[in-house]
Amino acid sequence: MDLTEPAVLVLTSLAEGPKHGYALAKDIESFAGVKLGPGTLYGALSRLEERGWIEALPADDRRRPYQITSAGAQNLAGHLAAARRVTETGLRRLELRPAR
Amino acid sequence: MSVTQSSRRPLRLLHTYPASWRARYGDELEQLVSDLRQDGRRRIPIACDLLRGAAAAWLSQRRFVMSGLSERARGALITVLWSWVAFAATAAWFGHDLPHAAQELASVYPSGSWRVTILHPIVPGAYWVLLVAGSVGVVATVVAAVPFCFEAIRHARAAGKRGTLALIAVPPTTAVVWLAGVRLLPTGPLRTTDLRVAVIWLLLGVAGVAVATQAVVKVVRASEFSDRTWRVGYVCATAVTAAMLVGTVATIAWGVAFHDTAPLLGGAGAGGDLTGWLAVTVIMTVTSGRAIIALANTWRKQAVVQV
Repeated sequence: MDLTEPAVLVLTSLAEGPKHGYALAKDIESFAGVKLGPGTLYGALSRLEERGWIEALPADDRRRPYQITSAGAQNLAGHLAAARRVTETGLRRLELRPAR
Repeated sequence: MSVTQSSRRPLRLLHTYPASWRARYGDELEQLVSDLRQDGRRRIPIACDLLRGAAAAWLSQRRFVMSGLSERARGALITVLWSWVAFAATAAWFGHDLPHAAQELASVYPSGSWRVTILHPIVPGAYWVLLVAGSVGVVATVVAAVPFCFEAIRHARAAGKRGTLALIAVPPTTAVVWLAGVRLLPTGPLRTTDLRVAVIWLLLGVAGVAVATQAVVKVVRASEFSDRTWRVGYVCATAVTAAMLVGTVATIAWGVAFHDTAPLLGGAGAGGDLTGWLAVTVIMTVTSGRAIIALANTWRKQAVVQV
């Protein structure tokens, strides 16, 4: 599957538990160092909801929390596993590279 | 400038999002923008990000509207096709008569026929507007017919549907047979018998058009087409409908101008016989209206699904 970076960040944040927009933005900033803009964040949320990978929970005032679905968790796991393979291969090859 | 005013500025950009998107996420996004502003995020990066998000939302909505168009478009395209065929036949007959009507007016009012043009330039212009609108409609029909025809043939061969292949052959066969018959008709001054044959052949042509259209409708109903082909069909149907609307307006304007101008020139029969024009206008208005409603319903159904 094709996941954009904001979508991966959102799913990763929601893997911890349900969060609303602002909580997501702060959490992503803390664990990834990425300041997602509101348009980017809600663009990712709308796409993920359309795919059925996250779902909206009852709104608390105007802050609506979202939670990851089992399909979303499965896709995130697949994506992260593939990313890990690439990361490990890259790191291994960098270690094997002869020093100049 | 107060902080409140400054922090509310990016919120105005929420209006750049599609209405349906705003209805679903607008409140939440507004709250997030306020929270981020209070958290110290700068206004300009937020505004730029909102604009980018709005562009993405519009693109996403367009893709959503266009995807799965097939079932919604099938009925609309068939309605537009039938409306277009009826409209084109009527417009061809009326457009063919327009230059004769101008000549007739000139012969009835020889000293002032030029005034028709001066008083209402639309009278001679209607013929050209109809011609251009008709040409746009024909070109759009051909453009749509090519991908539909190729995909219908491919689908029929893959599924072994010989009946569909036979139906696909009906329109070109009918056209070739009819045009060949036209070439055999006598030219020059017609005797009564020749005139009868010509009228019968003309009526057979109308029947042939109806049969060919019905064959196309059956093929469209029985075949599977790609999203791209449906999109081409929908865009072409929109162009055809626009051409029909322009042609109808031109015909109505022609009749009104003709009716208003002729009495100014004086003479017996001023005002001309507008019975034919009235019948043509009704047919054109009804067919154009049907096409517009069919296309509009497709979008309305989509909007209901989207909300």
